[in-house]
Amino acid sequence: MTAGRADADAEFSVFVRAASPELGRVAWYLCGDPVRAEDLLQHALLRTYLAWARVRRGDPVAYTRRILSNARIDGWRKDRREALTAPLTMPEPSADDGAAARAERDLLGRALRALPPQQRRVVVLRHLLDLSEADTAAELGVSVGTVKSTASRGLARLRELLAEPSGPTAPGRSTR
Amino acid sequence: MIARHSTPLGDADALRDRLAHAAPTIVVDPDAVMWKAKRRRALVRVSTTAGVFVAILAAALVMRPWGGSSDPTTMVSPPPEPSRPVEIQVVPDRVTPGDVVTVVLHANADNGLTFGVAAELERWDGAEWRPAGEVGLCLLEWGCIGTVTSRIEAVAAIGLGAVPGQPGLSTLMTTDGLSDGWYRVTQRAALGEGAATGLFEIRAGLNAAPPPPPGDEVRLSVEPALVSPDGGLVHVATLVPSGPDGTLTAEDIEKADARLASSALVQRWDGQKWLDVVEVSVEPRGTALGAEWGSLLTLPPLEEGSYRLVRERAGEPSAWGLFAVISGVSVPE
Repeated sequence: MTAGRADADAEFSVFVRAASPELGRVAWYLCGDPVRAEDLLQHALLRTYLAWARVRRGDPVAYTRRILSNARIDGWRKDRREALTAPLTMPEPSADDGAAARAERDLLGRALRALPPQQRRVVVLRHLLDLSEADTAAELGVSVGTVKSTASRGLARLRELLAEPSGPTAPGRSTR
Repeated sequence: MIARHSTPLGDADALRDRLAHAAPTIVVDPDAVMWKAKRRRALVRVSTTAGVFVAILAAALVMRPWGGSSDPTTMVSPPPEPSRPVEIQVVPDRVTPGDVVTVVLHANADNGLTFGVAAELERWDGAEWRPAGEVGLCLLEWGCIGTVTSRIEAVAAIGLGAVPGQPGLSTLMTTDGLSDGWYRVTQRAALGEGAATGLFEIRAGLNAAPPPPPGDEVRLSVEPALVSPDGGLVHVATLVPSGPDGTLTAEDIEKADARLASSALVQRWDGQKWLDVVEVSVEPRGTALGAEWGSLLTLPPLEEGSYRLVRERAGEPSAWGLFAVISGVSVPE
């Protein structure tokens, strides 16, 4: 291995360790499912690595997030985990993972999955990541008008779903 | 860097905080990602090299600079299939692209074979059979139609046998997505060793196959679905779709069955429309048997072709089911 590639790999490792929590959260917003979110994030990071020579000079977090938000979040099957389990050197998952937290996560995950994929993308970028309407439109390749209408409808729907006494009951299409 | 903007929607902040707090902590091992990326790069290099080789080979096969013919829409018909204990009859066996065909197992000899509903499809290229897909055949009572795909993920675990003189149950598949040509459908025995094969032809411009009855309406099954030109006894049963909640009871079938007329109209398909042939009486069903066993009726001698039995329903659209008249099959008396 050349010294240049070793440096690039080391740089990429630092990036992954630093950005994984934030990008993992985005992946979960988009999938509503922790396992699929992990798959999705691994796929996005793989693509980022393949473009690392170019991406490292810009904003790799934004680049990876763009891959996440444009991925097929409703039919994810590619790049299933193989040897991508976290080793002992990786940070431990959150200790706050009791039953109540899991129930809350499940409830929110079901609500997110109940939104149609494109509506979910817009809500995530516009409201959960707080991007501007113009940036959301640019990231998804749609018009600002589409972002406006989709974002407000999506947020309203998400509110409705979370206001339902027993949580959302319509999971939408299969996510596997 | 993308600028962040506060949202104009009041409680979006609260929702954002709630989701951020509930989000799982996802950690990814960068070494594993890099290992996988490098492996993919290596695979891409190998597959690119292989792809160039395959493209050259494919071009050579199509152009055949050494002579010969490989017209993908060959008009050279395939040889007849060798005789087997169990064969497949596809009816109609000449259809236009997109038509639905009925696939029926029928036995020439005693056998201990049990087949499933998975079938392989091959297309004749003028010289040999080439894989053309797989299909999960749909039993008539399932109300679905099997579609050809590159690979079927799973099929219902159901055993289909074939006894001499008694054509098997009707299964349906669509030819949608298949181009003109001759096709061979193969069902391999799940129990016992053997395979059943049958041929059919798809060609634009041929007569269209008769449409099957809608799977989501009350319809009839005619068994056997292959009838001798001499006519004979068949069972006609009422198939009822499940309710909106997915349930179906014997009472539902009895109720639908009770609304059917006591006679059935036999109609022949002329390639475009149904033509009346004859009205036949349906024998009263034995009281000891449930509606799912069906009623008997005797078909008169009929010309070879595609037919349907139509029974009027009080206050509802008629119910009907397909059958075919072909030589070489016998009907129990």
